Amino acid sequence: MNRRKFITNIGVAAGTAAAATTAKAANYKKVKKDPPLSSVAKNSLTPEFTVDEATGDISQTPGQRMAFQRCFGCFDMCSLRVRVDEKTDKILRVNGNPYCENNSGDPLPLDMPVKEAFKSLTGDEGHKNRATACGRGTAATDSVDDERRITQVLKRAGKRGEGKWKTIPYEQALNEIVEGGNLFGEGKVAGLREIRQLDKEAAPGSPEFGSAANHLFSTYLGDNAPRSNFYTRFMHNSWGTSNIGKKSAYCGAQQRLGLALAAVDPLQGAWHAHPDWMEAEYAIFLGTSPGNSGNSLNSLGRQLADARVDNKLKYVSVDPLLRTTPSANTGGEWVPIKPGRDTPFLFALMKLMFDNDWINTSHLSSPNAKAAKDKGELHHTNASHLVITDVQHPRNGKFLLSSEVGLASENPVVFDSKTGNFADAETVHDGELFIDRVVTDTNGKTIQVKSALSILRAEAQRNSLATYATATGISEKKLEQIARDFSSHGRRSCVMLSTASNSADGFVTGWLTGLLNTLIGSHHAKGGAAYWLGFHNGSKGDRYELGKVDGGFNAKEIGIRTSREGKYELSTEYKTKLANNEPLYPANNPWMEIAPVKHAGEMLTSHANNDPYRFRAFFSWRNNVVYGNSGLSPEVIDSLKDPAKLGLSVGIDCHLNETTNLCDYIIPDLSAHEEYAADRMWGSEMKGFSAGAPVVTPRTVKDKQGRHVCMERFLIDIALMMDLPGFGKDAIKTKDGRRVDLFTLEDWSARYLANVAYMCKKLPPVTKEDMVWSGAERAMIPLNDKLTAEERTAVAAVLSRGGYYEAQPRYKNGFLNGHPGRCLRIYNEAVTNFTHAYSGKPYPGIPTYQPNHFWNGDSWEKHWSKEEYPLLFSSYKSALRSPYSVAFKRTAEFSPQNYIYMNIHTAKQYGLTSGDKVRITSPSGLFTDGELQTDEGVVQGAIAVSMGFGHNRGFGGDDRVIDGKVIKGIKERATGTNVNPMLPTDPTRTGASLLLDYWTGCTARHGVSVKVTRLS
Amino acid sequence: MINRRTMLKALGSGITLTLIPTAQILAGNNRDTKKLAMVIDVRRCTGCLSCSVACAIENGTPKGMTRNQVRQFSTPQDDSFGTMAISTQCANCNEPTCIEPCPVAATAKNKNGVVYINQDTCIACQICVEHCPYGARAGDKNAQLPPEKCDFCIARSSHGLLPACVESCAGHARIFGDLNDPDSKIVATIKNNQVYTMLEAEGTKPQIYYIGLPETTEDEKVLALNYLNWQR
Repeated sequence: MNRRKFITNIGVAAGTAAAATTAKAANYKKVKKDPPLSSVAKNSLTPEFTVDEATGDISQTPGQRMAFQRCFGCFDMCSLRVRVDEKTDKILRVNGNPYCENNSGDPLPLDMPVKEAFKSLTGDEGHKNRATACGRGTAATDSVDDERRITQVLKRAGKRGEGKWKTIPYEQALNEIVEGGNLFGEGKVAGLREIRQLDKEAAPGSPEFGSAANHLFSTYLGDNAPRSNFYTRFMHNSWGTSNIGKKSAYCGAQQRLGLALAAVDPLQGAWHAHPDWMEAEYAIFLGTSPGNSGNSLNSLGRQLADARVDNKLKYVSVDPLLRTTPSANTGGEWVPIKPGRDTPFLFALMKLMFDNDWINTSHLSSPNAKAAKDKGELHHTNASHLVITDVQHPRNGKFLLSSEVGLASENPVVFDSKTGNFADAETVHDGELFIDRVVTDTNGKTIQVKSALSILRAEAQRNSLATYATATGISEKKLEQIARDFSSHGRRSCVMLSTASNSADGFVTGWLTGLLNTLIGSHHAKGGAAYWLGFHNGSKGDRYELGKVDGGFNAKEIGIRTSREGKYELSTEYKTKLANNEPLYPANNPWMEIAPVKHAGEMLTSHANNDPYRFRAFFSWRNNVVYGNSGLSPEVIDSLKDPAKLGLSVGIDCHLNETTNLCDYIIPDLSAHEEYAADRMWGSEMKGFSAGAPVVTPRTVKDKQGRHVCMERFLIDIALMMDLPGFGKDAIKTKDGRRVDLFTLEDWSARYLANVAYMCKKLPPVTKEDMVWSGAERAMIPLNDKLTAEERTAVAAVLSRGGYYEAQPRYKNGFLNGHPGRCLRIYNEAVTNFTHAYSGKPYPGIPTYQPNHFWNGDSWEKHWSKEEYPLLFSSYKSALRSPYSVAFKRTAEFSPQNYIYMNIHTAKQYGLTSGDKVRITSPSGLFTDGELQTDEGVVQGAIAVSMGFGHNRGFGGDDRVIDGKVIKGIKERATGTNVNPMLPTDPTRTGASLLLDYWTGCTARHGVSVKVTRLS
Repeated sequence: MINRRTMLKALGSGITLTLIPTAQILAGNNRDTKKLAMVIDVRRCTGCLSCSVACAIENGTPKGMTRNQVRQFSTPQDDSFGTMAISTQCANCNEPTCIEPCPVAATAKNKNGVVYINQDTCIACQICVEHCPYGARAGDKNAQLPPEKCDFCIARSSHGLLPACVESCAGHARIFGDLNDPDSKIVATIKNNQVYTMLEAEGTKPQIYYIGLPETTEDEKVLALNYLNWQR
């Protein structure tokens, strides 16, 4: 019987079948013989291996190959094993690399042969050795062959941003971009050759902004190390622009910079903590939910699952939105908090800990490394060190020095717990933690001093618990319970956060988490706050000098960025005001020396304001600042669109996105699976990197010489045309005194991989079989002739394992292994050397509580009416989506739209119901629309909306015209709500402005006031 | 049909899940054939959706005809709320109700216990879709394509590999194997835990066993949830 006949017989359309039968007649028995797999698994992939049931041995499926590659489903950069179909050269599916900790909580040793490793993934054994790629990474399987990917060189064929393009030869684009001319029939456009004027100032009269070469503004993805290092070599060292921007500042850099201050001085790094899952007993996830984002979802997922089932870990997710992971039936709890109120929450915990003496006094009182060591501690602290707190004193805010009180050193001073007398901090075992008194200096003058911990305690106790409870929406009782729990597990406790808590005080939030972990002695402790051990940066390797360019520039020579990440007091503006006897403060614009994080959004804001100057050319490589930076002023978009304000713009990308859509030219680039990688992994406690080589042939068009077009090809060709230093013949120096060429992607990538391979302490031996099973044999083909024989072996060893993952004992003497002992800073004196460019006041040496405020110090509430904008806004990253992943078909399928989540009682209060189409409006008058969903899992008086949706101007969600042919937008790519364009600007700044973190100038986006109204 | 569920409903009682005794699951141990089954420990699921995505790619399922869903919802917990993430898919029942109605015998149970669809003989009438009490067969609303259902990745499992959802499970929530193999991980897991099935009273003897489901879980409600509504 065929289908047509059957339907005719029953006389009804399909789907109106008879009522469900409960008959248990074993009807299936009538099928005597199982049909072949080709009939039952018709659309399924052919498996990559077959396992011999008798021996357990595996064989590779003919026509398929395996390869390792670094994942780019999000920014956590795990490692992948990739199945490729030989015939079509297409990726079939990806999964995790069993050697990589980020894919498996319990990775296989590097010296295990590759075939053995793959074998261990099969059968019953495969359960324990699972190496996974989460939904984000798995969905990126089809990133290479996406139907809306750009593989040809495009030039705009209409007005900028109009969505009309024509394909042109690569060489034509190159020539036009370098030489300029009347490129669009709109008048003359300056080319790169004209723009790079090293002998002129970028901002005439303000030499601190460097030469006019800075008129080239470029953005990039900082996360792919080999490629990013290549990009910055061109931009910084060779071309000589300081204006290269990236995403850190609008992602969450302020928190990590803040956290680091608990252990290092400013400018010495950014830290990101997570609980030591193996031994943790208690953890607070602030603004995040464990396993949801911030670190590898694979290793976090497994660690969380283990912790839940062992029932050892108790944890709270303190977040405006109940997300997936505080699972019922386990030790997790969701504590709703008002958006943007993380700082008062942390201060509440700190106050309670001081009020009740719930702090680790033994740890805190060790004033020097020796004292700490004697106690079996890794770190000592400056909690007992005395700070001058005398406004009349010239060194107010600095540590009292031993020499100032007649002791023979320049060390800090403490009161010795044993003798009660003051002493050189390096000479005593325990310092008194709480000191507030006067001492007499060598001149007989009295000086008011306080111990660092006294200063912190005073700040934490400055406000009542009721104040903090009101600010956060968390009851005093609950705050007390969390503080008690946090400090009741010895060191096996930790508070961590992710980027979903960036308010105007994100820096303070991060700093407080670091200090709270210090107060219980949790940093690097077994079961405490853990940190990644870092990765190998190939530009710092010594086989090839990749970070240096003969005849090129270093950072100091090229001036400061237009984001003013420098010292205001050295600026022409300051000097002019000083000379004219004008008030020195406030500065006209924010200056954020403490956070030199290449803030792309702030650079664009300066461009829109033509202050200190406008850019003349813009390169956007694999970065989407227009979409990603929340609250960009409409003037910024206008300044990118208007050729009179920006002469030339070039997108180097796989996709037309919200930024590259506004460009003049598109140079197609490699997808994540087509590139070389050796990248740091978020969340890995093993030192190492995930590495890979192109697993399929790039899909991009070739140049006349038959080479695939990509970012590297384009920049090398520009450098060669303009005779820029650092590229071409003999461009790279080797350790043994040779010089090698830099003409191709492979010239660079081979040397980069050689550098990182030589940094690895113990590379595994590589057999011929490993080379075949891992795909390294194929991967090495383009690299072999770029390397010495010895280097080839080292690079092959790295590629044969998809990276390098250094095994070492996890703990040493009760602490996580491999971390140096430090002086943990309760008071960070170095911070006080910075001056806020508005107030003119020094930064405080401890975090301080001040409800959210603008650049000029006004509270948000002063400008944003609570009555008109009664709800607080928060955003987050959902489990499946990344900002660019809408182009992966399965992402769009399983995550088709986001929702504006609101508490059901709040919705009722405003007459709204689940399913309503609503508008979110910010106090800047900007708005975005979406669908409301209500339940109990949202804090009252707030909304929470996930990022990564609403791509109505990118990734194929919108119509485009190429060579006169209309290519319709794919509607499921444009669905959902994009919240970033709605977020407000700072009304206390002039012109285009960004809402900033008060202390670092990074973008603030949480806790802002909005209103939600129903659309009729 | 009057079963325990409808009786409880009639009595106005809360419906609770029924514990499935280990002995019952492992009865009829026969080393000559396989009895493939899966355990899902919901406490270990972190909702990363790797299983759903990996399944869709591995099996080439048409958009919207997913074989594998993670149904998530918030639920009261102490003085706050918690969440549950419950993966659902065809349970390859021992006594399936979806086979008998097939007019062309395109769907059947193989010797290893897998309920498959022979796509060469299926006429895409979708009748079987209506006969699954779990809604586990994803039908084609245009009646052009065979329904999609979990067959434990029959191509993979036939070659000694784990199903895509199992090998992709970041939280190790999924365990797959042969109930007839006393040394297997799945047998050990079932022996060491309390396990439940969904819609036990339907009598289909599903071969997906859950660990960590609160007894108060209302399985009918869970199965009726739109898995796309949870975007957190």
